[in-house]
Amino acid sequence: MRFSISPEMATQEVQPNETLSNLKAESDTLKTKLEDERAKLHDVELHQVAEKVDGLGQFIMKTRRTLKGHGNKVLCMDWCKDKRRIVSSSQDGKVIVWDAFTTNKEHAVTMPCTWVMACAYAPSGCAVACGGLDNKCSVYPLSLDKNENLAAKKKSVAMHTNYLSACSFTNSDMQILTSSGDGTCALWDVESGQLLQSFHGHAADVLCLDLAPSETGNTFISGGCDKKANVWDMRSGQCIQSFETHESDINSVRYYPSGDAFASGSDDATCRLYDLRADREVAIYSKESIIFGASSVDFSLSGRLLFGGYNDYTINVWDVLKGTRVSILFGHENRVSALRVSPDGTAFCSGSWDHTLRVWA
Amino acid sequence: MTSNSNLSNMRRLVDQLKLEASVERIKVSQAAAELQQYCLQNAAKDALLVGVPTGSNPFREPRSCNLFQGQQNIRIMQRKTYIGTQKND
Repeated sequence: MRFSISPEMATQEVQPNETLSNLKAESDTLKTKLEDERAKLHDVELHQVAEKVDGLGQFIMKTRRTLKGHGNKVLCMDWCKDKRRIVSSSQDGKVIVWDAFTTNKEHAVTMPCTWVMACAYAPSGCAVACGGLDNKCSVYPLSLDKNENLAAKKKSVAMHTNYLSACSFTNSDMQILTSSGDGTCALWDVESGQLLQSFHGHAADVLCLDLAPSETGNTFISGGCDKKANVWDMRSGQCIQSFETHESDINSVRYYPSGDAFASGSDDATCRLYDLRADREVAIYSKESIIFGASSVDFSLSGRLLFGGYNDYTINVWDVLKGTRVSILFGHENRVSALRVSPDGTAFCSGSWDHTLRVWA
Repeated sequence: MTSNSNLSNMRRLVDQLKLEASVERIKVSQAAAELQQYCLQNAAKDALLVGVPTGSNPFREPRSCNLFQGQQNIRIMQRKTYIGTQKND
């Protein structure tokens, strides 16, 4: 699409399209055009559409299990597909695999670095990936023999130039997606450690990522310190959509179960819902009384509930459609740093700077 | 050199914005209706939303005491060792 060139620009010696100021003007025009196009379709608010839906009743959600064993702040956790095992990582370098039903620790690994900010369970349940201040993502196969030294079988897969903030296996044990403080995300082949694709576009540290539910195709979302949430095409490495409405770092992004939307949690004390097909923010989950950042968000199975772990030690439960808070959960004695709903939606687990993890149902 | 990289950065930004501007969009009313429909269709399966019949949520079950389980494991191990030695005889 060509933009008309103003008379002043036409008199310059250099090709009008190529000077820095012209490109800047063009980018400003495009940004305005983008906002206008999005605004044209903003005919109603989500909560207005949801007015006729029944409100949610009282919620009885309690801590059902407390996982104790980390010696320092829990930074990340992930569920195994078997819906009972959990992997968690902490500031002291320990990565622990738990059986959440019995609260027994099944495996423990000590990483050579502190601040293990990312950990993930492999789809097969046979391995875990983790990393942090070592700038790497390493994969540990889980041995059935509890006495075996897991650290011996460690495989270094990803290499970034700054800390690893998040990692996730794709549909198989063979590929890992990582995000880093170096401002990029990357897709790696686990076996060879080869970089398959890199994703550039964030202007600052990337703090979180989430893969689209498998039915919806090859995309993923990332959130960063540049206040942007980006949607990426995994095959081409292209950023296909970008959202910049948060007022501070985006700590967590999570796809809506249908794959058509995603939620984000930010240091600006709000969680927001973005619809991918409307290409805009469609809801903000906030209250004047909530002034601390949201560190981690996840949806319940149907997408009706959004759980947010906050830096004020609480977990707020939001009605996604109506935009209201339905419950506030107390229990942790320090910041909630990680929160994930179990694969079958029967419970969710929160990890905290108070050294513990809690399973709620 | 710096001006060249600034230029190529700006060019990349303009191309990226053109790509984002060309995305096909639907109305918020339609998008919202579909999000709502998904929620309502799947509400019955959402254990955290509606709760499940007692007995089918493993986390709501009281778990057996860890100590007891530990004792059980020790007894099973002892029995296996005994059987092992018997066979060797």
